[in-house]
Amino acid sequence: MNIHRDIARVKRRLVFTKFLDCFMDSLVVGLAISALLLAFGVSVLFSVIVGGAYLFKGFVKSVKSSSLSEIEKKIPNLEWQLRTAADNAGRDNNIINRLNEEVAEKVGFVSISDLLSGKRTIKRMFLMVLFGALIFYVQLSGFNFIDAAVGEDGMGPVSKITGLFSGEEDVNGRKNRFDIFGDEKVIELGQRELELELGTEMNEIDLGKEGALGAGASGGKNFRGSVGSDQDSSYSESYNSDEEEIIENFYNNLNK
Amino acid sequence: MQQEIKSAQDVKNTIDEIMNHVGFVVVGQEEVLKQVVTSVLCGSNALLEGYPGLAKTLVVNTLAKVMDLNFSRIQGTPDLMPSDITGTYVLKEKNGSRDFIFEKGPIFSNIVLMDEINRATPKTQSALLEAMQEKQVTVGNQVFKMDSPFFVLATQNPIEQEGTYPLPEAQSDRFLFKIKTKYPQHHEEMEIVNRFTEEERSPEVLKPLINGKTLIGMQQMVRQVPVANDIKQYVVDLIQKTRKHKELIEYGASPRASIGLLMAGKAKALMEGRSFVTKEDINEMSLPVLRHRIILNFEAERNNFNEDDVIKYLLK
Repeated sequence: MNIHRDIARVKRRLVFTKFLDCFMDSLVVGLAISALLLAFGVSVLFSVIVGGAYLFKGFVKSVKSSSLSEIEKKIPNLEWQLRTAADNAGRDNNIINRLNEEVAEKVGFVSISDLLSGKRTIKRMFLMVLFGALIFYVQLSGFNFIDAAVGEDGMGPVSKITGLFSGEEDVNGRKNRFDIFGDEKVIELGQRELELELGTEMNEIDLGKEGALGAGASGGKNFRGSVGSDQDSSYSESYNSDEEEIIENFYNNLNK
Repeated sequence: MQQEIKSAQDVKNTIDEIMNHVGFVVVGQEEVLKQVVTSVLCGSNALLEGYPGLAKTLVVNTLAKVMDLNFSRIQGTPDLMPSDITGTYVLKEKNGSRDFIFEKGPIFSNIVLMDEINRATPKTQSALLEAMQEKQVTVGNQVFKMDSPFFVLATQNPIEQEGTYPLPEAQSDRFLFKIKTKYPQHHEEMEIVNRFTEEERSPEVLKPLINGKTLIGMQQMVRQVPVANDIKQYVVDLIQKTRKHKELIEYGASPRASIGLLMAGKAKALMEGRSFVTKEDINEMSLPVLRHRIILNFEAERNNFNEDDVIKYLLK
């Protein structure tokens, strides 16, 4: 019988249990933040960072505050015995030896499942499933709070759910697919300034202005029809002639 | 007679047997008896406070009998002199020459019952101080060691305070416990009436269960009981609280109280067959250990709080 070894083993199990606890907590936090970020269309990388930081901080804090009394609370008839044995491990007399035997006998059967709180674990599992399902829904539907915040007039508050489950259909009876290729319905942008990135270049279009484009000023290609926008003088791009129609459609529809 | 006591369980069995034997003579008063035994196991002194006729003397006398210890009784009176307790030099003739020989007083015994200690004068009370704390008596320029085990169990009456000399704080601090004896319950009193009117039951009918050597062994075991650091911390915190709560307590307990409380907790654990001390042991022992060591202020007395009320408040 070696009480030092037994206590060290049970302490290791306590630390591992703490890690599992913190890991599950950070997973719940990470999933919750992921769901939120996805709903705003932001990269989920932030949730990984936040989850990781939460795990690290939580683990360090819980290890620092952990004590043998936590094990005593989980194991029946062990209260005060484990702490007494640990605090007096260097001493040797009949009474302490008997105590050490009792403690070794009881902690020998302590497993990680004894130390983990079942109720709390189930609660966290439930939250994980809940947030997982939420992420699945957001991913599948393409739900986005920013889209939802922009109403029919382009300025309205969040008043409806957009995306797969919005129930809206276009004239052809198809679900809305905000496709810029001109084949399907194009988004209505209202009076807002729109920044579009085409290739690696930035093209600023002020939709509030009307007027014909000057070919000389732009240095690019003229489009048929009238597009109420000014093209930046730095704009230049090359595209296949097959795609010309697509871009033309895009700008035409944009101008509607 | 059980002599081999090696484990906490052995101590528990022995104490249970002692309790049963004492219970043959004394009806009820289990709590008092338990606290007296705890005090004996700690090798400390106890002060029993209660009304007359509550078997205080009988408890101590019976305990001495079952532990096979020398027992002496001193009745506290205003004219009791220190030499009446400690003994004195008397002129004796031996082989034709006369010499002053020290004649030991009743203090030289294993268990000394000092009945109505508060009726003795402060001078006589203080004669007990050295014996209680140092386990020795100084007479003239000679020091006499007491026999081991040695403890004083004193009694005092809470009523009839006229002509008494309340124990000074320095002396009451020497008592590990102040044990309060209560009136028996109805069924206990019925049993007392039946038992003592039908047959004579005196401690003399009892046989010794242990002896002084076994008791000393058990006292050493009490010191060996390990204590968790959290419990030590708890004890010190509690004693410190008695000094900080000035709104109720004028004078708090001394560090001797910390030692006494921890020792009492150890003894209680051992008596229950445990080799570790719990917070409940400390809480239970804090009342008899602290009640004579704190002095309440006017505010507490005005609110009709007694020492036990204040200790319970500190334990919350």
